Amino acid sequence: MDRHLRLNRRGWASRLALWSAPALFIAVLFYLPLGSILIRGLNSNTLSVLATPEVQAAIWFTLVQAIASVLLALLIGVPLAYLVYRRRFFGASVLRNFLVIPFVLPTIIVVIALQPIRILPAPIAIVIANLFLNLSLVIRIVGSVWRTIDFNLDDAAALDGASTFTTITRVHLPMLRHAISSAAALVFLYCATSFGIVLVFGSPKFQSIETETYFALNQRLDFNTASALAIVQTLITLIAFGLSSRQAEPAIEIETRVARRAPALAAILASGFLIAFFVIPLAAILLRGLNANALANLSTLGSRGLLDISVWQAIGNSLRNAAIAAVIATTLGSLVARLCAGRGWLQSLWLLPLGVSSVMLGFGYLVSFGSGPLPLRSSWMVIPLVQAILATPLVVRQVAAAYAGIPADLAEAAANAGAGSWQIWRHIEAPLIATAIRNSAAFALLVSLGEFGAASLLSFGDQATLPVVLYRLISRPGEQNYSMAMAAAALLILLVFAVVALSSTRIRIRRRRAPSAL
Amino acid sequence: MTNSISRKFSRAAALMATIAIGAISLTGCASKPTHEITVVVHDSVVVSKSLLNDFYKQTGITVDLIKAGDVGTMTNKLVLTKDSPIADAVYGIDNTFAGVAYANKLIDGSLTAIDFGDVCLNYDKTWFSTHEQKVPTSIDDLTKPEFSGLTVLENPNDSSTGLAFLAATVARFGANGWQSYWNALKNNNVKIDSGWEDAYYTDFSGSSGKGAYPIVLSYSSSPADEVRADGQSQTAAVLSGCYRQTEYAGVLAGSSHRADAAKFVQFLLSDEVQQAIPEAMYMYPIVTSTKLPERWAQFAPAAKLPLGGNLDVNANRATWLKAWTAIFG
Repeated sequence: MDRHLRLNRRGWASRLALWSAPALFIAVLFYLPLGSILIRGLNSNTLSVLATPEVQAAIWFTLVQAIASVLLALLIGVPLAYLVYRRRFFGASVLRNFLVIPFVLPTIIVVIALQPIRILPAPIAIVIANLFLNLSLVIRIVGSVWRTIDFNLDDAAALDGASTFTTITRVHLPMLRHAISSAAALVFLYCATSFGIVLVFGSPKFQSIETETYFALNQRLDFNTASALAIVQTLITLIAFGLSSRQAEPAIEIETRVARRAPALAAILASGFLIAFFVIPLAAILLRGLNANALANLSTLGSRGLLDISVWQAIGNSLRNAAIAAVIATTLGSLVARLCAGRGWLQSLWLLPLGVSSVMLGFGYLVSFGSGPLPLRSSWMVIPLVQAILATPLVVRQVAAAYAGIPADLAEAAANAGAGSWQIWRHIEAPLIATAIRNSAAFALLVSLGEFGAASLLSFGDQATLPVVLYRLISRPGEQNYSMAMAAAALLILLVFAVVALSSTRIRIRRRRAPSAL
Repeated sequence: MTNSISRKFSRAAALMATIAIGAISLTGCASKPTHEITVVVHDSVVVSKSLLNDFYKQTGITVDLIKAGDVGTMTNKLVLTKDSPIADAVYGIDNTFAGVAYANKLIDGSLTAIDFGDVCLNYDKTWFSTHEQKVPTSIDDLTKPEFSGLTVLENPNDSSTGLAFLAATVARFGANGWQSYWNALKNNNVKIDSGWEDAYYTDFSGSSGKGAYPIVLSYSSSPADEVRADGQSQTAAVLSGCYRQTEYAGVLAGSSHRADAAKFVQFLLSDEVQQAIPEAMYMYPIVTSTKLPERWAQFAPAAKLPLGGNLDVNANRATWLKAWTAIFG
């Protein structure tokens, strides 16, 4: 099946060279720091640490809030996926485009946008914030598969006397099983590892594994607890991860005919909900933040010199870091996706960072790269590198999915016609995966732009990133800090909009060209 | 064909390797030119630009201040990074964390006391007079029914102010009695905030946030900052049951600019810095002959008999926090 992906046997030297970059990258910058922090904390006490009430509370709370968030996201997301993707109504396509945004927003923005819900009990506020980040993921994953289910099936069911509801539950849902379980597992994964949301909304009573790790290390220098928690978190996420990788068959878009019009009331309710839930909180930040006064404050250091650098400098740091991280993650991630095509287990070596606490990784860097042969910690490169590690799995997943979607017979035909591997890559594979690479580059950029856990540990002084500065500003009440936080948040939102807009315009051009390339 | 692939990809791999090596070698040149030092401080430390300029004029040493979180976070970061320190000197480690610094051999020589503050309850005088209620006079009052739901405190896990108060309660009620005091506080609907800023600026009724709680855990100096148009402070401190926090500066053991760093520590004891400390940081200068601002003399006297000076906070922190978290967790 993956014959066309295999390189010629004589190319073993080049293969070695190809493997060495991503292998060294992940080994030195991920497994080494992670291993060193685990070794430091793993000893005979580890098991007894797991039995302490705080640790158990953190584990339970992590699971409970993540499961609650998944259930709520499915409950709301699946019906919305049906309406927005399977039915037709005024504004549906605008909504579909907009739904890309919430999932890629930095957590710190979600925290700021949802400040009013802090009056709610912490667990509820946390679940709502999780929903804000992940609802669109469910809608998009489930919706995009739902869209491809043949409309003739609906007609056949209707002829047999089935109502729309029966058709959905009896015909569609079984076909959507994989999409739904994969979406659920992904949402679980993101909720179980979220740091910023629990840090802000949960404090002081509710800690997750991630925040408890942070406090254990940051406040108590308690490596035992941190390592034990990291192991538990890794196990939990590995399981969720295994579930999420059993993806649905790659969907091929066949829109044989126009979707049916949605009932007006349902369409109004759906758009009303999505606008109220997503658009209003973001618009509120933009309205408050984008005024001359607030923007002028961005060049100050906050009231009583709270910041080490101005917000503008932090934006500069963030842009530089995100660009470097995105280039590294996209290059190496795409390479890994190609090298590991058909070897899923090997690929997961590069996917693991997705399931490991970024806080833990940050501490691993503090411990491993302080001095010695690789004194990375004192370099500004440390943040783009750790962000590249965290973004690589996302690239690998997207690009690998695109590779899996390439029809094998296409390459076989080309090989039979005498095309070499390079030609096959250049003329068949590359055009087909180009969109995935571009999308994942944009995604890597956005993830790095919003990354908070590792940056909050590793950025010192003039290296603070925008999310770190934002967190400091919102942790310090006061008029000036508040208006600065709003202005900085507004700029970050605009930045996200710009990246999403740029990447999706390109995709549209590519799509239009794609048929002729084939 | 194969050759062309391998060349193309080897080139890509070589490029990546170059980037990696470049990244690593960049880290090699992080050391500073001779007369420039980095001083790590906690988030509430303020040393003005003009003071740093004066220091430069006197010594030719440029100072780069970096803020590294609250006292606990800052100290722990110094421990985690002591192999290649993030700074040459530290200012703001207090007596609750000095033990961590010494135990981890962070400091070259010993720490020098620079300033101190008394962690005391504050109350909103206006609130108590409009509600015609008796004001609290000691930390014992907080558990009385008439003060139910009026107090906001800070989480000792996250806040050095909160930890200081926890130490004060241990000193006041004894190693076996303080838990029942906190249980009583919990039953009396005390609010726990994560940090001092949240408690003081958001939830306290007597400051800018105009919150719902007329009693807050703050400092004996805070009333000096709440003087209203009539020349009177809206708030007052309860001077019984306070815990004294002393803040220190020191040269970091791993620094390669120890002589310059030591000059900066000495500079912190100079008259101009000591005089600036009250207004900039709401702490009292450690040099007792320093003249206090007028409002301080009037509204912000230090506590006469602070509690807990004899406690080993460092040795007991974990036990206390565990027991406290069991009550409030």
